[in-house]
Formats: sequence, C-alpha cells, structure tokens
Amino acid sequence: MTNQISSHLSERFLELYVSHQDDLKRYIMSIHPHRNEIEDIQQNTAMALMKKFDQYDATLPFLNWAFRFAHYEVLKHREKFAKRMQLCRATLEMLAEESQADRSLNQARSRALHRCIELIKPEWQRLLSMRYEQKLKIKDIARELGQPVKACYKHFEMIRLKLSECSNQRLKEEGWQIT
Amino acid sequence: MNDQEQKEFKILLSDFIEDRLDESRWQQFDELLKTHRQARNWYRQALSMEMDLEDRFQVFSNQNPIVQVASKKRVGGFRLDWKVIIAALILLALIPFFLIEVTLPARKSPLPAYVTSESYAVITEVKDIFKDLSDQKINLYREVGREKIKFISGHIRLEYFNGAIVELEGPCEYYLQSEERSYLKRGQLSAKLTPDSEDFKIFSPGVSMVELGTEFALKVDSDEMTQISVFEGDAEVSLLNDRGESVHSERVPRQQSYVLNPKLQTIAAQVPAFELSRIETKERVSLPFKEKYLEVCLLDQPVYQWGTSAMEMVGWKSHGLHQMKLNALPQEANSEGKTWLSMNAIEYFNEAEFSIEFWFNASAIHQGALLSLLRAEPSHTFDDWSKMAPNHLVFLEACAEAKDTMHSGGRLRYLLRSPSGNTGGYNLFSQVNYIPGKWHHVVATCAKDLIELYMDGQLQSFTKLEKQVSQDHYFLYLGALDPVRQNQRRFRGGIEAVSVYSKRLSVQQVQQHFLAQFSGS
Repeated sequence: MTNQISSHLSERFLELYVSHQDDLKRYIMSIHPHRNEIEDIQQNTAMALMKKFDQYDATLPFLNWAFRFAHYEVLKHREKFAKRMQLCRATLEMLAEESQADRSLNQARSRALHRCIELIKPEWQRLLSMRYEQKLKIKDIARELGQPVKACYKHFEMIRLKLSECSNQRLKEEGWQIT
Repeated sequence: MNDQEQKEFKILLSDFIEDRLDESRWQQFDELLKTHRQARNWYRQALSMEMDLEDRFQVFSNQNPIVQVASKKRVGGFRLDWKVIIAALILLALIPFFLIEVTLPARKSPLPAYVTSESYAVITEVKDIFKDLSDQKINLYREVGREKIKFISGHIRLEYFNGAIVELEGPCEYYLQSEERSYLKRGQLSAKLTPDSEDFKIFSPGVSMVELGTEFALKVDSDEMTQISVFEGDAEVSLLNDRGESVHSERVPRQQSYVLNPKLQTIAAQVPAFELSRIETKERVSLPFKEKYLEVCLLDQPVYQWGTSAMEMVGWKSHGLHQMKLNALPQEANSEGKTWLSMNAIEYFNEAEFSIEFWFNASAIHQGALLSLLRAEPSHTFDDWSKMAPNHLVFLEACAEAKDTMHSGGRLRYLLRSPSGNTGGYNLFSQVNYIPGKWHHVVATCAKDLIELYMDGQLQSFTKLEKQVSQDHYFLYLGALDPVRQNQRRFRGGIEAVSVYSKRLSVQQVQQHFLAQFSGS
C-alpha cells in the first residue's frame, strides 16, 4: 500500500514539476544571479520538493509552494559563498516577492524574444551563436573576429538592447503593459 | 529613477551580465536595485532574456552527439540533465525489506551509491580487507574521491570513471588526488589504462611515474624503495629531489622492471623482471532471471522482446535478432563485442508513446552503445544499412569520462531524437553510476511530452519536450553505434531481456518489474 501511495505521488510530482520547471528556474535565477550555480540549486530544490511532496496541499498552487523551497535553497547556497559579492538580503527579498508576479509575462516575453532573434542582423545572430551556443567568452569572440574586446562588449550591449526593445514592442502589441 | 541613474544602471546591468562588476560597482548596482522598482524590473527582464537566449541556442546546438567530436568549448552542446530534473531518490521508501534477500551474485546492496561531483572512481571488488577502525570505510560500490585509502591486508579494485582500473594489495596506503594523479606511499598497485585515462601519474616516496602505455604495476616497500614493472606500453620514471623536481629520469619499456631507490638516488633495471601481479579480466556472471519478472513484463504487453538463448530457456519468447557479422578488426577478438540487429522491423512503431526495458552488465566503465531504435523500411536488408546514414529515434549508451565527449563517466545516457535522424535530440543522464560487473535494470520511457530514464527501479531524470511523431518502422540494434559503424562505441559486457512497449510504463510498473526480479520465486 505504501508503495502504491508513494508511486502515485511520484507520478503527480513529475507532472507538476515538469510543467513548472522553467518558471522555477527563472525564479531562482532572478534571486541568485550566478548562472553556473543555478542548476545545482534547481536540482537541490527538486530533491527537496520530492522528499516533502507528501506534505504538499494540492488545493494551493504548486509553484508558490515550490518557490519557498527554492528560496530556502538559495539562502543555503548564499551561506556557502558568504564572502563573495552578493546581492544584499533586502534586495533579494524584494526580487523574490516581485518575481512571483511575472510568470505569465515571462512566457509571453520568451515567445516574443524568439521571434525577435529571427529579425536581427545575421552578424548579430552569429555573435549570439558564438556566445550562447558555443559558449565562447567575449575575449575569444573578439579574437576570432579580429576586433577589440571593448568593441565586442559594445556589440553585445547593443544586441541585448535591440532584442529588449523588440520584445517589449511585441508585448505591447499583444496588449501587455510594459514598465 | 532619474535619467542619470537610469543610464548608470543600464551600464551596470550590462557589465553585471558579463560578470565585469568590481566590488564598489557591485554595491552601487545592489543599491540601485534595492531602491528602485524600475531597476528591479530591468534586472529581471535582462536575466530572463539571458535564460531564454541560453535555452534557445542550446536547443539549436544539439548537433549530432553520436558522431560529432565536440569542441571543448562547446560544453553546453546539449539539453543536459541540469535542464532536466533529477528526481532520483524516492524509492528508498519503496524498496521493500525483502530486498535484503537479493540473490544476484554480484549485488551486495540494492541501492547504488549516488554520484558526487568529487568522485573519481568506484570500488568494484573487495577481498579480505583488514584495516584500522579509524581508516576510511572500504565498502563495495562506494565511490571514492580525493581521499586516502589505507588497509593492512587484503585487496581492492577501483574502476575510474575515465575507464582506468587500479588494484591495490595490502599493506597499502594510497592517496587518490585526482583522476589522473595519485600517491602510493606503501603497497602494491596494478593498473590498466585506456586512451581516455592517459596522463596518469603515480607518485611514490621520492619517485614519480608517468604512464605512457596501458598496463603496469608498482610496489613500494617499507624502505620506500619503488619497484616498477611495465607489461604493455611504456612508462617514464623519475627520481625527485626535496622540492619534488625531477632530477633523473628513465624510460621503462614493455616487459621490463626497474628499482628506484630515492635514498641512494639510483635507478636500476631488474633482470629478470619482477613478477608483480597484473589485472585479470573479470568473468561476467549471467543474470538468473526469475519467472516472476517474465510474467510482469508480459502483463504489460510488450510489442517486441529479445533475450539471449539463456533467457529463451526460461520461457522468454524472443523475436529474432541477427547476430551481426564482425569485421576483421583486432578489437573484435573480444568475445563480448557482439552486436545484434533485429531480423524484422517493428512496424508502425508508436513514436508518441513507448518504453524500452532491458538489463545490462558492463565489463568496465567505458563508452559503449547499448540499444538503438533505427528507422528503416521493413524491406530493408542487411546490405542496405551501408547505403544510408542511420536515423536514430532512441539511443542508450554507457558513458565514460572520455576526452571527446561531454558526458560524465559512469552514467547512463538516453538520447531521444524527434523526429528520428542523425542530429539533435534530447539527452537524459542517470544520476547514479553503472557498476562494472553488476546487472542494472534500465527503462527509458517516452510519453506525449515527457521522457524519463529509470535505472534499477529509480527515476533518474526526466524532461518535457516537443516531439514530432510519424508512422515509421524501426529496427532494434544492440551493442554498437549502428550497423554501419559496428566498430564504434562497441559495448563490452552483457545485454539481456530487452522489451519494447508501445506505451509509457508508469513509475509503479517500472518498480514492479524491477522488484519482480528480486521476489521470492
């Protein structure tokens, strides 16, 4: 009997987790801006959620419940790296609270961004590919292109700005209020 | 925020994304975030965009992981298991107590050890160990990282995730410092390396040895003299000064033995060569299948099954598989290097929802293809395979810490390509290691928008995905990359009791199957 109950819960957990994992990652990233550690925190959060899933109240939103665990895992992680530069606790709390309100907008923003990437210049698409697909550092990209590093940083600043403007424009067209 | 602050913040944000903030600017950045909601909005938008860009380009960078030799810089080449999720655990509570009565010969504990990022190897053999209570535990299947392994007498075998095998004889004091570097203070060590474990360095008191070949042994006695025998390949040995600098080096060729005395600073050839023990190849124990296991598999109505003749003898109704003809290459003298191709295609395979289940037992940690589903017309003949690029729908393989792959050694990999093809796809990895010499139960499932990987009844990882489903026919292939590239990623070990289902097995069903193998009769 115990097996059956636990297995059923595992199935349910899987369903919920799979449908919310992107939101959870985005939330973690918003309060813990150290990208190479996000996966560890997300993994620890998933493990903690699964362990405690029998205590989850199914009448409440899963994601809100999951955010609490993620928040706790972030705090634990911060303690480990207490000496390095971090956002102060007050900033983190504000970001955590406000991040929870962004969920539906985030999905729309992702869709808009994907469309905007198709519209930018091919040279910029190539730069994005080098940066995010091939994971090259800016200085390596600069070397590859025979450009000064500083100019390369400027390129990326410009690309991000254009993508951001394009996404916001599309969102406005879809009726979103963008601040 | 006034105009000046907005301008300042945008520059800070851009530098933050590129990780270029020094401490004072970091504080300024933090302060603006704390005091301005607008700043926080921009910050969240920027991070969200970074995540979307990473996701977007990672999906497009899923270049053929089977044939591509990846650039070291392309570490983000796949949708890795971090993206995925890791559920693992769970079944501690689910595995009933009768598992204590496990009957598999090679299996001491039903629960495999979890991988940690610091682990370099796993203990796969323990014989007659006697040690001080204060020393580290030496348990079968325990993973070892940067640590001291000390025992008074007995024998252990370590299998590194890069494929190297090291055996230690007591009295022994061995310091594992990394995957490539260790220190033998006392005792006897035998090692067998693979091309992926090159750069292997062993230090002993006043001596260093750089491995240049494949197989060797050394012994350090209580006088701190080091004896070295090389069986295959070469090695370079050096005497070291107090600062650890090499002061005198010699090359030890194959079948030669040397004695190094750091006190007298001498290196001398030993004739005849010492008889230090070599690593023996372990016999694989066949898996004694339980009728109960066969029954539960059949209850879930597999559309295809295959097992070796041993399986058929206990009632397993196999569909036929060709044993592939082997080309005349030296490595194929290995009797375990068989590959298998189904005689007939599984026609109109249900790509939307399916499960694949089997058992495997690897002879060593190595990169070896276990099972593939390959798209082809039912009329496809044996000779036709060489005329087309194989299109994988499913590819399951044992991973090793190889230099040209991004997959962690000792893990199991499940690749799904949708639509089937020879590039792209989603990867899942096990969170636990496969253990050489031990039978592992594997289930790879695929549902409408979800794929899952189970090993030994435990969910290892899963991810959601978008699939393109077609009405195609698939051949089952076991033991290497594909029928054309039979010599690539040849699996060394046993594969047994393959079942293909045209539905997703649930968590409960997977557990029932696994546990049935350990039930009473």
